[in-house]
Amino acid sequence: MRGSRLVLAAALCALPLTAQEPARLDFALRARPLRGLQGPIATLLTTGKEGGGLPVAALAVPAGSRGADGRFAVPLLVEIEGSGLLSQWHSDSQRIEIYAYAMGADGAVHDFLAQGITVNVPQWGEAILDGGIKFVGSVSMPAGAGSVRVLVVDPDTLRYSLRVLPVTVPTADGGPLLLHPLFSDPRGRWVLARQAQEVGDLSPLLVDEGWGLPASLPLLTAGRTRRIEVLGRGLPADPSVTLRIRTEFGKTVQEIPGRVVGRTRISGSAPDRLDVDFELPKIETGRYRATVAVQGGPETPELTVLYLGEGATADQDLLWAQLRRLSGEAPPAPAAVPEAQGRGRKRNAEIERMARQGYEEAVRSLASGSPVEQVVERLASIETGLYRQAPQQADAVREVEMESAKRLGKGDAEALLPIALLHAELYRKLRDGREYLLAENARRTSADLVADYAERGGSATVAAQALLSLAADLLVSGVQGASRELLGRALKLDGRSEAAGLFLAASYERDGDYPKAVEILDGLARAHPESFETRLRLAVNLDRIGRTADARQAFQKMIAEPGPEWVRTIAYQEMVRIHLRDKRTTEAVALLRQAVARLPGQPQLAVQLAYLLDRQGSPADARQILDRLSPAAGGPGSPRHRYGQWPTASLDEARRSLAQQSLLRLAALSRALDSAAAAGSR
Amino acid sequence: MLSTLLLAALLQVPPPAEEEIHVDEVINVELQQLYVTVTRGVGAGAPVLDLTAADFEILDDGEPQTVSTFARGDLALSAVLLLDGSASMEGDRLRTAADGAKAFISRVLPQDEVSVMLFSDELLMRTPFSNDAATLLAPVSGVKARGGSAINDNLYVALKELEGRLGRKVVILLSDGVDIESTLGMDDVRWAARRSQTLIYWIRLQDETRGRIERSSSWRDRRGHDEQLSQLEAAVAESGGRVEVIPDVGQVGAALQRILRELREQYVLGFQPAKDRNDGSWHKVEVRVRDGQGRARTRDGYVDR
Repeated sequence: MRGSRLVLAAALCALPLTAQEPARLDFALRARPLRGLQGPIATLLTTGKEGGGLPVAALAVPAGSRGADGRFAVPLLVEIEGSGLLSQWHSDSQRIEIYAYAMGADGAVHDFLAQGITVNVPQWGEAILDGGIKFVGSVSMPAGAGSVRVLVVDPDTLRYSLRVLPVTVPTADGGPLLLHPLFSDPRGRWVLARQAQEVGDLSPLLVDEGWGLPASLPLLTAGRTRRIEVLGRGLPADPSVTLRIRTEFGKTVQEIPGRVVGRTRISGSAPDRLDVDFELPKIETGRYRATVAVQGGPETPELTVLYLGEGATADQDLLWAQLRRLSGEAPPAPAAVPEAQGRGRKRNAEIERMARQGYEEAVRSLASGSPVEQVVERLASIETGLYRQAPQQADAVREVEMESAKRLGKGDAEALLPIALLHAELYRKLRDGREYLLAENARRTSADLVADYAERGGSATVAAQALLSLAADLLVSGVQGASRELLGRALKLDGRSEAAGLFLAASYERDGDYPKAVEILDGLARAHPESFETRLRLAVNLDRIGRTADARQAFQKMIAEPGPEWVRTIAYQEMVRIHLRDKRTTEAVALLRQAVARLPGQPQLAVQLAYLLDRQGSPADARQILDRLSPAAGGPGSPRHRYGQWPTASLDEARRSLAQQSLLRLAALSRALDSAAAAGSR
Repeated sequence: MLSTLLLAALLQVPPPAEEEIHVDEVINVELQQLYVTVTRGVGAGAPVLDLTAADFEILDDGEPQTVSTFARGDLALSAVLLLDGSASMEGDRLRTAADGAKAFISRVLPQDEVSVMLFSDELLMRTPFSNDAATLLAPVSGVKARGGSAINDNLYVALKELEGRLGRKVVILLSDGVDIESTLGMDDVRWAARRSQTLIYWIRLQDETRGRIERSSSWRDRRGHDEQLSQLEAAVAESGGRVEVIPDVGQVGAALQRILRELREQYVLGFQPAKDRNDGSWHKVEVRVRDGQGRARTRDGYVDR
């Protein structure tokens, strides 16, 4: 236990140094109502005995609004950890069934929720592996004590998890109270799903759109400031707030004073909201229970938290792997390898030997000039073969590969680069082959080797390109958290990397986090004043955050310059929108006429002009313009479409350069292999 | 000026298949008349076209109006089938949608005319108005689904296509409804729709197996996308059309059949508004069926121009 805690401790410090950034809620998966309760499921629910093989955590916050029937909405959050969920994935669809029963203290069922979710694994698998699924819904209960029983079932494998959440629903006119403290989760880690029926009030679970969804099993990291939302009624005007950390047996280990940084007072029976910052001290890493207390007032219900104490390395992926293990039961051993238990270490050693041998042969083949595709094919075949044989050894295989690679790079860090890039290609191959668990391992190995390469004096520019290449793949697959982390690392290594900056800014822009996008693009535009794309994206986002004068100046400059047509088209369009917002219709029409004359191949400019003429009372002129519209003949699509795509033009350039750099270092890899062979023979 | 271009003669359409009622000839007669298309909701199996003008009551901003023209049944149609040809329709999906459209087109009457427009973030294809299935659908097979989605821009173009055409004007949009790349906002399109007297039907694709509907893009945040969707729903309802939700593209044909049947079972009532302010204000229109003979669905109102 202590060992695993140390590993966790080592990993957790890679978390962002600030409180979690706001996340916009984008419910990606749709739930559907289930017809009825099947016999075995009903039995599981009635036992009320927590357990099961699916890693699930849940949170019920009983402070929803009162309905016409006098009962109160109890918003519910169910988290299903991705790696555990997909560990027995076997087809393009992963089905999940979620049941929640609201029960009174006397065992009476007050309400229930039964929802099915079908996950399109090729589309969502990678994003779910990066975190998991968060489902939000609601049941209703009368005031008083009771519980919500949450059962999550994988109907294809019959794995399940049952959680029993004690709940006390406060009356609207009751005295002072505090609800569960809410900790937000890092953005981008979760794929969101929402109850199929419109359930209306999910507050206070959805604190607000900018804040995101809370965590059922929050993570607290020593040395960091953690913001917690405290919701309650009858709170003092100037409350003194304390975070209490207790062991699982109830012994208080820390009382941490908080700093109230914001308060939202809501009229009626709705709770007030306090934003409270806590400076987290060092305590031993582990699993604790946390409450928040207001001096002279009530204390919140307990919430289980994971606390990270001291010592850390920068490996967020490892952190999440550990969290998965701590936050839920380990997935059961797959039925395909029952004999593994009997053979124990012997079997592991054999797998490791096979992994090492196969890996070293693949690397030798790469160094001798074999085409990368061929080497990747071979390595993928070895890894999937071993995985089929012993799925529980996947992490061990990764460790063997890391050891081998690091040994080769010991004498000359340059030898690491071709290996790191080999793993990046392997990641793509495995991902496309839907071997998501192995793909994730390949990606982590590649990123770790690149980090090692950079730390040991390798070219920062090349290392940044390698991280960018990996991050871009992740972004395109919808994995935001890990990709942003890699892009951030790439920018630290090479602050001038236009491609990394554009990708990072575009990912924030897609989240609606325009200030963050501006911050990144501003720096990028200073480093690359010649880049039209950077300047265009900066101007678009400047306008969004209210710096319209700056945006206007930038658009005007772009219109006047001989830049790419797609950039000038958007500059015209956005400039026209600014004119229209300022009620300068005549200027807008004149500008559009100029745009249509200069850029006759851009139909969207013609549509915009036709509409303006229509509004000005010239429908016939508008018709004439639209009658001349020709369907697009193919090509890259409209300028606005191009803007909405990931900025791969700069990425392609980085990847070409990276491939060349890798080739140049094959000689170093050969030498490293020769040295290793010589050392082995001695 | 208050209202619209309409041929009174068209509202009393003779039986189908008579050559002289082809609607490609625009007769420039301007009438101070507004018309509303009424879909009558009745129980299953009940006759739907058995009412007369006297059975309807039209209210313009709450004021009763006199029904001046009345027609029912197979009234001439000018329709634009506006089909999503974006990357989400790749593979067999676009062909399946075209097959569904074929079933629709093969059932239009000689006096009806249809244009097919295929769009993504750009206009990919449009045909002239015709009622010949081959003319309308052959070009679709030559188009490869690609790109993003600019519903607003292309819905505006479709509404303008119908401007000045005769008969009931209808746009049938096939899309998941998520606009990413339009230059125009849906409020702009609503402005045009309110002036067009065009019925808008939206066959809304909600395909669960396709997973995420992208609601956050480089051009709009989630709130912006939700607002666009709400505005589209409002534009459809205001026009007197409706949303037909289908779970997969294989249902397009059946949805189009239902819409066509509904179009065949409509009444068209004309009236000359008693209060003509010509001030660009919005007039709420309500149509009631007397004596509880069903409910009427019609456009929400009109702009007093």
